[in-house]
This record gives sequence, structure tokens and C-alpha cells, in this order.
Amino acid sequence: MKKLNKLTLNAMLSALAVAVSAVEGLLPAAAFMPPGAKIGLSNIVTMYASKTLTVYNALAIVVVKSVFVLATRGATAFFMSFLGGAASTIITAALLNSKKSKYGTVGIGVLGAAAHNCSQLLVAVIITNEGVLYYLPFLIAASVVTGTFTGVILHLTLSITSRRSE
Amino acid sequence: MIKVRDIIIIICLLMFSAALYFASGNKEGSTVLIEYDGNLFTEVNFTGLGDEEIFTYYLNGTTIIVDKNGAYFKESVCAGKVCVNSGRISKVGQIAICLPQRVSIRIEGNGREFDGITG
Repeated sequence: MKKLNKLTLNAMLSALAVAVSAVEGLLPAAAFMPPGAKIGLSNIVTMYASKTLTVYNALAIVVVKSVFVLATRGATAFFMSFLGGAASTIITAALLNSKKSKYGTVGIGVLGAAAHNCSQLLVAVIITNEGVLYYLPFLIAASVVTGTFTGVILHLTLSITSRRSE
Repeated sequence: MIKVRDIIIIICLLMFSAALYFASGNKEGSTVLIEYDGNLFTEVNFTGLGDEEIFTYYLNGTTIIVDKNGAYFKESVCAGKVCVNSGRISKVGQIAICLPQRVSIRIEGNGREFDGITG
């Protein structure tokens, strides 16, 4: 891929990540999910970017998305979005790009979602107190569900786009 | 798409969360702690309240109700309304929190079981 193509793709993916996370905020909360937990649709975008581009491009998407969150939802949401996004991106990128990966996209999605949730909970602990750790089991269980979902979508996206680009 | 290790990860995570859940217990609490910015604002024993006794607290844009069955966020000026959707809390260790307003309510029992868990 040419340098300009990469830059364009990165910009488009950044816009997509902002858009899907905004749309996700409009979805009603599912009954079985802990309050505040979301599907993490923008994780699909960052995982896709770290697979097709590089981990740096994926982190750039995280920064763009967090700045959007800062402008619309304030500083607390910014820190949670940025730390959660950065942690999950680094972990998923390392697993996706390793040559002899023993993990499928579902497992990587689940680990990414768990990293996202745990680092956000860490921010919540710092802001308030250790009482929020009560949420931890629910968030981990939720990340299994949402991570499986994002992992399946990532697999479908990667298989379709890799066929197209040949 | 899915490999053996993925299933192992999922099973481990589910077992871990189940273990954490059961370790934290399910006892009915007796006291609600209302905290602002990580500091204790007030502490109310709700088990002794009567049917008609309802306490209302206004704290940094949130409205918190404490009655004999527990406590909950009635209203909040925040955007997400996660705190209001958390619903009523009454069991030891349960917490409802409004991060944008930095207000949290949590339940403790008599024996302070919660501190032992978070250690």
C-alpha cells in the first residue's frame, strides 16, 4: 500500500471509530449487561487498523476518538476512553500481528474487551474508591460476550477485505 | 476464527468472574455510604428506617434517595445516566456510581466484610 493510501485509510478508519462509538451511545442498555458497559464497536475498527496497517495507526485512531470524547463528554470520559482504548489496542495488536499466533479473532476480541474494561475500572478506582471493584466480575463476564461479538465481526471483515484487495 | 486457546481464555475468564462474584458474598447490607470525590459525605443506617422515612440528598447535581430498602440515584444532571440506570442497591459491596459528577453510593454491612475482600 502506498503511503498516501495508508494515510487516507487511517483517516477514514478514525472517522468510522468516532461514528460507531457515537452510534453505540444511542443503543439502549441491554438488560443482562452491567450499567455503563458497551459492545465496544470501535474496538473492531482499532483491531482492523492494527492488522491491516500498524499498531501506531491504531493508536492514532484511539487518540482521535478520545479527543472527540473529550469535546463531547468531558475529561473523565476522556481518560477512560483513552486508557481503555490504548490498553486494548496494544494487547490486541501484539496478538494479531504475532507470526505464530495461537489465538483466533474471538479470543483476541475477548482479551481486548477485558483489557478495555479493566483499565477503565482502574480509572474509576482512582477517581472514586476501591468500592467500584464490585463491578469487576460483571465487567469480565460482559467482556466475554462483547469480545466474542467483536471478534466474529473482525474475522468477517478481514476475510472479505483481504479477498477484495487481491 | 475460533481456536482452542480462545475457548480456554473464555472459560478461565468466566470462572474468574464467577469466583469473584461468589467471594464477594450476597449479604443484605445495613449502612449506605455516600461519597463525593472519593471522600465520605455521609453515612446512613437504613435497616432501622420506617416505611415513611425517606432521606433525600442533593449532591453535585445528583439526587440520592435512601429508604428502608436501600439507596438509589433518583436523578442526575450527567449525560450518561449510568448512575440512575444502576437502580436500587441494598447488598453488601454493591455500588452505584456517577463518574461525571464524582458521586458514589455504596452499601456496607455491620462486619465491614467488604474491606476484607478488596484487601
